[in-house]
Amino acid sequence: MTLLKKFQLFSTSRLCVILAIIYTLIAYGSLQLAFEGTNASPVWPPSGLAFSAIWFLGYRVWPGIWIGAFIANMIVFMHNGWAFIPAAPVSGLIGIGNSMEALTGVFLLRSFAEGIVLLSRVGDIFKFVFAVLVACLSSATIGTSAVYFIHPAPGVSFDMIWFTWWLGDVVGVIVFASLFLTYHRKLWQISSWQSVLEALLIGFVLIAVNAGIFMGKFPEYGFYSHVTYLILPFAIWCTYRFGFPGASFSILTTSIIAVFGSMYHLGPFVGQRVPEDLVIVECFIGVIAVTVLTLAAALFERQKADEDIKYNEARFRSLVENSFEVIALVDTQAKVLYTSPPTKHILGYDNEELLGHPMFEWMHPEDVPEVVGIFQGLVNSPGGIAHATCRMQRKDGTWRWLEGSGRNLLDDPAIGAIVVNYRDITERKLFQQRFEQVVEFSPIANIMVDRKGSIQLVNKTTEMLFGYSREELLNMKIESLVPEKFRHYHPDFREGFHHAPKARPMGVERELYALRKDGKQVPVEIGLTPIETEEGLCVLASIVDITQRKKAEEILRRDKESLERLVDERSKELIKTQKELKQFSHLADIGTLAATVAHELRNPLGVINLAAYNLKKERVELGDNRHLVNIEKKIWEGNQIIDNLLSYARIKIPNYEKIDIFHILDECVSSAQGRFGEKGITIEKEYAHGLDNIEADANQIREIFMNILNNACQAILKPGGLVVLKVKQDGPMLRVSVQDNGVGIAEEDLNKIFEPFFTRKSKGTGLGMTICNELVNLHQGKIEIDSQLGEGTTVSIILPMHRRDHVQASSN
Amino acid sequence: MFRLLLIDDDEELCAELCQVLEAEGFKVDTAYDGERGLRCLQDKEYHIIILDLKLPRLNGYGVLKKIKANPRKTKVMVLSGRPLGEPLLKEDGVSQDEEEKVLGLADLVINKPFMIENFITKVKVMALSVVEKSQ
Repeated sequence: MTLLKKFQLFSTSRLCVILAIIYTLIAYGSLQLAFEGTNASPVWPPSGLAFSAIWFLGYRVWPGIWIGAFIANMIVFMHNGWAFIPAAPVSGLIGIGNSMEALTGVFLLRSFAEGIVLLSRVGDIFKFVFAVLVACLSSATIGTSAVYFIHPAPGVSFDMIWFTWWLGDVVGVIVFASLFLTYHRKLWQISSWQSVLEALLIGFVLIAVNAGIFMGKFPEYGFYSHVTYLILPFAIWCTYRFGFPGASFSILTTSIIAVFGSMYHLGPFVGQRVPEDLVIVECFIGVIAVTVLTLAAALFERQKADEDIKYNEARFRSLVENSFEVIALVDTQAKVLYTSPPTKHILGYDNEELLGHPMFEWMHPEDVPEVVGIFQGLVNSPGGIAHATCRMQRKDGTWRWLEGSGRNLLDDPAIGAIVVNYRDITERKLFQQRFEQVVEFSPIANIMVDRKGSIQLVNKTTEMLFGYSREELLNMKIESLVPEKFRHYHPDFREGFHHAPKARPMGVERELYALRKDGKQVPVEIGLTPIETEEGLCVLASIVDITQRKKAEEILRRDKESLERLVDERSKELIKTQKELKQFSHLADIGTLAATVAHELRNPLGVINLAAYNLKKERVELGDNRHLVNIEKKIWEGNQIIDNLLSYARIKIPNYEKIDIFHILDECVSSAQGRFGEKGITIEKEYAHGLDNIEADANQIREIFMNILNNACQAILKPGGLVVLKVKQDGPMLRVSVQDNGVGIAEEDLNKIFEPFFTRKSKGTGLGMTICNELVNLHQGKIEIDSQLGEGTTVSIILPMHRRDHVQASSN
Repeated sequence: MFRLLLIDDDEELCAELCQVLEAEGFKVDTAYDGERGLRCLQDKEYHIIILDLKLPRLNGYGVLKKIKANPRKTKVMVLSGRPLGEPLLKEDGVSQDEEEKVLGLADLVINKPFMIENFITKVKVMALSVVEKSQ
């Protein structure tokens, strides 16, 4: 066919020229057999050529046919002595007829049998023959009319010419076109040397028989014509064995030998004239051709059907055998009637080992009762379907999980068994088991919920968290575990999750609670994960009890608050301490100065004192020591001033101890009495009874009262002075008041009394009350002064009985 | 004859105190600074040393340490310008901790100002104890 494709690529004009040349040659040859002066030949292969050319190369090549027919006819007419004028138009008309015949035939065949390439079906052969019979009418009619009416030949009737013409064209197309139309390279391939031998033999026999019949001399016209039927068995044999090639060979052999025989007045159809004989021969050839073609097509159809069946069978077999699923047929006793090859892969057994055994033989004993039940149900419901999952033992002893479905086709005559499809789901099952184990032993409570909200799976932790048993939880509505307050919102949330299933935490920025069986609510955190299961999309909720964490957070929060409070207090104290320290540093500056001055002053005073002493000793005999006594007195006063200065400088943080306040006061009183006794001052003591020891610095307390008593005594200038010392407890405070009947303090001086170096006394540093105030303040006490000018003063020292804790903290 | 060494930088004080002590029958030498005081100790034996703390060259603490570095029967009476616990001045040259320890070396510490009669009594008591020891 590659040659054909090359031809198809040629230009139309080139094809026309080639076609015209070939057509001219064949037509010229054929016209030699025509009735004299008519160009109506009973043998007309050019019609087959024309049909084939139009069929394979397209309608476009018709001019080649016309030209070929025109030239061939012209040559023959001119040779027969026709003048140009009748010969040319007659030839032209004949050419038109021949072209039309081919065009019409192809057109009809195409419209009858669309898309065929080979005349491979019986129906196609009949359509082909019909198209040819119809198409050849045009050529015969136009050609005969042209010859008969334009240049009639003597002694030839119109209908005879027409019939000869038509028949010649029909047989020409059927014989020759069928050769081309049925040609296919594959059909001509030689499969074995036996078939070559057979082909040679049958070819020889066919030729021999044809030659024997058509080359033989038969004594009587028409009497022996039936011997031609001898050809049929051989033509049929040839066709039967070799299909279309055989048919084509038979037709060609018969045609050529029969036509040649008749041309030389041989064969059973020999009559008066060659053309008439050939008409009968052509009829015979036409019949033979249609017969063997039909037979070939029928054979081809059957062969193709067989191949289709084989192909389909192979395809289904392949599908069944290469499937991952096994197809098995079992009877009502579950005995295996058939099982597909993958069985070997899944169970390790060959098919033969299984046949005739009930399938329960390999099933896990635990699974048998359930599957038997399902199987019995299936047996009793014709056409029904059932599903089961079970374990089967492989030949090597291992167990495989199989999932299968069975269909009852006992009533189906083609099957008559129960069809079981099953596949190996061991991997899936193992994965599922692992998943369930992971969930079961998770420290997090896991609950799997289906779309309707009923619980499908829970683990041990879930039981503990909610206080329900597993049996109670399974198939319970998940809403039962949601506190009532949120319960009616929950189904909407659940539905929402199914619309957009992806792993996420539940209830972001909301506090979630789980409702226990005992009604208690537990704070929880929940993560949601969508999981695809056999029952559809489920949600795995992972629930963590955060009670402990909440507690810890609460404790942390509380601790933080108290820590903040503590820091606050401490920083307040620190600020206070800083203030105090600042005061101390101020005092220290004065202290340094005072100590320096005191030291420097003491030495000269000491020397003066010594000098006065020595002078006094030397002048004892003089008797008058008045001036020396004055000097010594002033030296003592000078020393007092230095002491005051030094003690102000010495002020420091109290050294707390339990002290007996009365004992200290007595010391001070006796000291004062020693100094001021000569002034005639009486000191009265009014001590409250049953007073505890107080916590204070003994030296500082002593210093305070020394000063106060000193001041009180010094304030008394008139005789009959009285100082009353009162001690009493006032709640947590100790109140010591020193009342004198001295000069009193002017109102404008009262608020200056604690200022350093303030004094109204002729002799005094102005530090006494300053020191007292400092010391009392250090003890967290206070000084109250009540004074009337000219009447006297009452100074009250109020001290806490016990040291104040935070003072201790700051002093530490 | 009882020998006393008075180490004090105040010349007037030394003169007056000498008179007081000599009136009581003591033989008194004086030194006006620490180094001179120590030199006197190398030359002669003294029963009692009366030592001021504030001295030029070597102060009283230094002198006291040197005296007590060698075992002697000499007694040391320190005349302190201030009672214990008073803030120390920079020129004292000892730390607060050292002060107590060094002063502990002295046989007696008398704070200024002192009553002259008391002072005389204390010197006499000390002199007696020296006599008892030497006997």
